[in-house]
Amino acid sequence: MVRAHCPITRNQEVPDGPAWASTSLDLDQLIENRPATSRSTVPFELKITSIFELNMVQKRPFDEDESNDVSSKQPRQMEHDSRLVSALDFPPEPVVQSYYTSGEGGNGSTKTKAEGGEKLDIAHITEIQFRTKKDVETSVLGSFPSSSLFAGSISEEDIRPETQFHIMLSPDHIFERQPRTIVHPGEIFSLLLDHPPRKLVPVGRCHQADIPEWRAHFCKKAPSLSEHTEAAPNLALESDEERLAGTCVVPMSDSEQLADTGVVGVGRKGCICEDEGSIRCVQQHITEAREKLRGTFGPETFTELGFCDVGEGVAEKWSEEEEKLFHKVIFSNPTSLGKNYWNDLAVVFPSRSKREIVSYYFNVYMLRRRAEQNRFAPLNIDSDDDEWVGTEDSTDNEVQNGEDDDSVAESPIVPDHKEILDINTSAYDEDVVQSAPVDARAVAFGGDNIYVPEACTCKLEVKCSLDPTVRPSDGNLSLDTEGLDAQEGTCTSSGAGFGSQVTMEKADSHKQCTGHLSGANGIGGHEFMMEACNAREWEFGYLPCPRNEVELLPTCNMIEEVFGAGSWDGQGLN
Amino acid sequence: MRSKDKIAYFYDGDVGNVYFGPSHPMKPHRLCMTHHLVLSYELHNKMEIYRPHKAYPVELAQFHSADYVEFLNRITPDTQALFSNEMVKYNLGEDCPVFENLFEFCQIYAGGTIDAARRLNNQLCDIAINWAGGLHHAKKCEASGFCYVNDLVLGILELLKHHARVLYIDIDVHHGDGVEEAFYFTDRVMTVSFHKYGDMFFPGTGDLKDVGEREGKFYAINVPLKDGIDDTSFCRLFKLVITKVVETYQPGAIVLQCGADSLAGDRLGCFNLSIEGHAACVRLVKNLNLPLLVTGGGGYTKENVARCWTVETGILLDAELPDEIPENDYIKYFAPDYSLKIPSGPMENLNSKSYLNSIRQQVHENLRSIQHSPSVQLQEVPPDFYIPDFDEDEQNPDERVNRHKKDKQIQRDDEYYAGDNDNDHIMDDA
Repeated sequence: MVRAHCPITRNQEVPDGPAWASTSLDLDQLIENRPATSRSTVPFELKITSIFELNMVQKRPFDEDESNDVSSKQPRQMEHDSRLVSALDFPPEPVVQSYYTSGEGGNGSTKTKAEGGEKLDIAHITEIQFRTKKDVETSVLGSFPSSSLFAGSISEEDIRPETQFHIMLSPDHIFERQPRTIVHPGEIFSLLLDHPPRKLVPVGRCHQADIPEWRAHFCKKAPSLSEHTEAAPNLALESDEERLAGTCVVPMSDSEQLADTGVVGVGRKGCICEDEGSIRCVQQHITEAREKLRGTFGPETFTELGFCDVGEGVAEKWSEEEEKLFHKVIFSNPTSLGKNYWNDLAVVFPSRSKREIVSYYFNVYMLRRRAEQNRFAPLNIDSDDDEWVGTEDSTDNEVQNGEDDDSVAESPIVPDHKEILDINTSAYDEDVVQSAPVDARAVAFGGDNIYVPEACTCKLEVKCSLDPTVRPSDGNLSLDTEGLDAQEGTCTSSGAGFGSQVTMEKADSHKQCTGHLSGANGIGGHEFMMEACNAREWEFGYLPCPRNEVELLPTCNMIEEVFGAGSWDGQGLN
Repeated sequence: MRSKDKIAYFYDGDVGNVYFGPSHPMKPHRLCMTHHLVLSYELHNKMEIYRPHKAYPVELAQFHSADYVEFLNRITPDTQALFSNEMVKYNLGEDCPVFENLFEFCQIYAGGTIDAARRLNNQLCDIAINWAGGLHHAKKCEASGFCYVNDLVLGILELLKHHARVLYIDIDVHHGDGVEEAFYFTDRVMTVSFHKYGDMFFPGTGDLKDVGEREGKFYAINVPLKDGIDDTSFCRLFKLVITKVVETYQPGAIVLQCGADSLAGDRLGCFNLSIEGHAACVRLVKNLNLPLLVTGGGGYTKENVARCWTVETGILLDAELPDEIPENDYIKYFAPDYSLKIPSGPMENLNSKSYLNSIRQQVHENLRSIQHSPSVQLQEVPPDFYIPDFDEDEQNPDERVNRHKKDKQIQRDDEYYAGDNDNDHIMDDA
């Protein structure tokens, strides 16, 4: 329905507007006093601000700098950039006037704050607005005649509706009445800091709401003007109104017993489980609480309230295969490497709606991770770091997509239930370049188990980066892509020998590990390698296993870097 | 004295299963956590739970422009690349990404607030709660600050059909710019926002000097604050401002946006409020005994959001909640303490007493302009309405309102005192 962008003039009725906007629905009866606002005119939003000095408007004054960008709610890196400052010539007194969009409807004529009746002179209209980066990118040296800005209809040829301009205030042109001052760039910066310009409230037809008229008699439930009426409430709405005022899921309880005590709910009590505090214990008590609530509400209301879509209840709707696949997708797309597993999840589960995937993610996947985090890194919990995958120390060089969280655990994930994933990767690997079918196994890791992504080809990246002098052929780690027999759990079996070698280098390995690997991309299980470097109980070398040959390339670069050019032939280390 | 308040609580599970995108701080899943925590405390026993209807486009267009609503309705993540111009025009794409089920998400949270307003209008409840709502940045013709549809404006417009004056209070750490802007010209809605201001903090508006324009002049109140404000300072200021506002403006209904990003430890916030402090504000507003619509808002540390809004649900229900969180499906999120309390770290409060005092004085000054302004007819104000002019600093804040005025208002005698069950001393001034 949304048309591709096409030029429109301000006062022109929008063709093909949404049908519901002009038709009168039954809802009209319920939505009374709807103002007869013409919806035919496109709310051509004039966000144009100061235009008088076109040559002051630079196309991308904020180019890579968003430090003074206040219109983005997400935290950005603050940088002071003198370029930024020079682009903004603020007058000594950065007071700006409000402005009104051109007269439309009942807004009256345009005016400046200074003089009510003064005809709008574009040269004197200023407004400071901070816009997001995208606005910067689209800000354009408007080449439109200034006279047309507010005088009459603004045609598309003049201004693109999405164009938003930054304030470029020339101190020479701010106000007639202001003294001319020349502000040097150096002073501008301090001025900006000391007197940040005040962002004004936008006003105009496209900003303010249309207030419904209030008539005392309209208020059918209030016979008097008093608003503190104690009149008997209308006990029931008409059916139409009821439909539009919410459907009751849990009616008011008749019993007054709880209402009087003021104390509701019972806090968590201790339990008598032998393994109190374990995942199993917690799960048992959660299940007990659920069943209790199911009994309280009855199964219908229980479902209506959404209990079946909460927690492990969601997992019941997923098969074991699906669950394994889900985990595998996430492991294979670590966000630390700039990957976004959401796209893959949608591809891998075509029959699942996005809502189901999100629900599983937050209700099952994330909660299970929290169960682990809670036990192994209780001081570093951060469940808002949704994209945290694997275990990483926040001190290493990896920054996850600009996440402002610290990473969570420093130790490998160790599920109490010793879950070992045997992931059949064939279904998932269809659309990726594949070298050999693989089997992911939990690697025996000093008594702990960790999840291993598809271990198709075990490479010696760890070893190489740890100690360039250690030749792969020295140890019993002469693995090559074809030679790896995943079925035998080669990673595990070769761990012992490797571990002893690497342990010696551990002291140096850490730095090298991080240093080399920070630039390596596309290595599946990369984060596990990092973890291997950092884990205190690390004894065995964990061999990261890239997913496929495609991802070997970055490794190649690194290997070459370490061993010299030509040492890598893609088949194994020479 | 009013009998026990009747509470209507709105929730739809679908609202929590949308995903803004990787690394985006807004996580609607917090709403599931809140809801679940509320139920695990058995608060359903004291209120009615409703599933809101999904607001129709025409209802959204009561405030928003029709083409913006339609665009929201039609755009999907797959097609957004084809409409880059419109994406820019409507400010979609960065802070406000287009994600799957976006429009339905908007319909649910807006429908909740609209339904809440309708129930209040029909006096089917005294207090209505929609934690999914409170997205106060959305503008008439564009999205902003993770907000697409401004449910608060829609709810207030609904309330304005039955009430001459509506008071809007916003304790989100960000300025309630969308609501203020929508009602900037009218005296039928007074907007009061307590927020962080300065240092280029989003959204950049909310200066003390912004008071409204035209008929709405002095009907917008901004309380700009600096980093690190703590419970004592905030609550005292809140009480002083709100009691004065209500006394002067005499609204028929109140809409309270309870953004939880003003809590200590929020990912995007920079205040140092504990849940007790935040909730004390809710308690104060509840004790004004006016029809009350409560919504959520910001809040980017999920567990704290859930804790905060659960505690506040309890307060609205006059229920004391034990600190230990009961077993529930999401209990793992509340490790390691599994408690309703949140730790607040040491944080310097950059709001000096003199600064806060000057704000309060300016706000009171602005309110005086309303009292004596002849153009504003407060129809319910009796002709001998009088507000004594006194220096509040020398008065006992708990005795601010004199008996004469108190008698004029049909309110509980202890309205300016915390409720009977209150064990919160933050609101009591020394």
